[in-house]
Amino acid sequence: MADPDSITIPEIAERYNALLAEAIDLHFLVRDAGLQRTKTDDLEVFRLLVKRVKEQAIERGVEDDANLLFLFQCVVNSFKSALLMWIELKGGRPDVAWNLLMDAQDYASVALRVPVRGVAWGIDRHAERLAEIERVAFPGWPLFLSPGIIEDGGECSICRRRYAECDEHVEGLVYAGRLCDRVNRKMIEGNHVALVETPRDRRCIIRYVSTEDGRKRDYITGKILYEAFDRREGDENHMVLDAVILTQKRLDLD
Amino acid sequence: MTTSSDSGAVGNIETSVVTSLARFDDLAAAARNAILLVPVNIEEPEGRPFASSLPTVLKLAKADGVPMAVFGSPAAPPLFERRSSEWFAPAMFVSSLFLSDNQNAVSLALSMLANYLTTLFSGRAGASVSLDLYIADTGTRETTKVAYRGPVEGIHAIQGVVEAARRKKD
Repeated sequence: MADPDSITIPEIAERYNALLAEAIDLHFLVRDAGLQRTKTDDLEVFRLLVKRVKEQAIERGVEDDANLLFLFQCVVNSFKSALLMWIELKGGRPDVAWNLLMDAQDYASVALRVPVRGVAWGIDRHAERLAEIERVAFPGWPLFLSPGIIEDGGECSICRRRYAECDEHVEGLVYAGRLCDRVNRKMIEGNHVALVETPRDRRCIIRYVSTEDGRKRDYITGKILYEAFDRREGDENHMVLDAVILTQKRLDLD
Repeated sequence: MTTSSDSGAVGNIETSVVTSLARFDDLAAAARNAILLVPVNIEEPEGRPFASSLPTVLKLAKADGVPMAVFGSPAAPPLFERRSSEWFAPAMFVSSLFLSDNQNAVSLALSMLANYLTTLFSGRAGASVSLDLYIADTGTRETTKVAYRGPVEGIHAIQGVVEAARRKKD
């Protein structure tokens, strides 16, 4: 790994462009999974370098550099997730691949919010491509799950004060190379879980539904499993779902 | 209660008249000098939780100099988080007295939200806004509820309803 104490921003940008060109060339279903895996390792090494240099930029108070490096961090994470998605799809794990596609889309969405002046960087095209892949590779789930929760306001992910008491940072915006998010949110009570067409987090998918004879149908692959749902007496007429109602995964946005 | 709907090309605005709003006097008094942020279920006598966007909107208002206050001034109110692709604004309550003295306040608040949400929604397909605004006529004690559901570009249409209510009062 390059020395984060001596590498310059133009040198990092040059490596970023080269690495991305290689990742774009592998961002197809038919590319070899071994090559894709190796490239995700390269992207991970580069991500660690970018984060180290970004921390230095934040410490020095150089906001523009910190933001540019955060943009690199988001885009690299997005491509890493996208390549892992192809590997998982080819490995027969479409549920894992779906979550990785959601990660890739979320990273691209944050990258589009980074206030970097004057350069488009092709991120919008990358985001469009991810949307196209979603349409082609996945069947388009009609329903997702969306919980309603009574909670406290949590903490600001940047300054770690109570979110309501921190004046400087607003949720969802980027400040000197970091995304403001609410963390350590304490649930006071669960209110409801709804089946919706447009949830906030599309990782909340239905995984299995019951068939008329009580077996499990994989909602993603369509395959009927030999395994039966655990039904109680009187459940014969009920449709049973196995679904994700909440995900608490935090992306690499600090 | 009477209801009307305006489903234009950008978003949907539904207006309805609430004739007996619980806690009307308390609300109208608290909304004398600011746009009042109120609990999500303000039409119920014991409505307590606020939309989880409450602290975010208060920060934006403070930064932009938009007069806003929280009904009851709770130190740490419970927040209602709905994990939908819709962004739920805190329900807002404005009195006719406040509107007559602060004709641009709602317009400023809508611009503030639109600016923030345009950035927040970057790259998020299908993201939309849900905003309930209550306009209270302190003379007739009648409250008009304006419910907007739709993309951020359409949020400014709420101002038209506010203007109509203000002109009716004048």
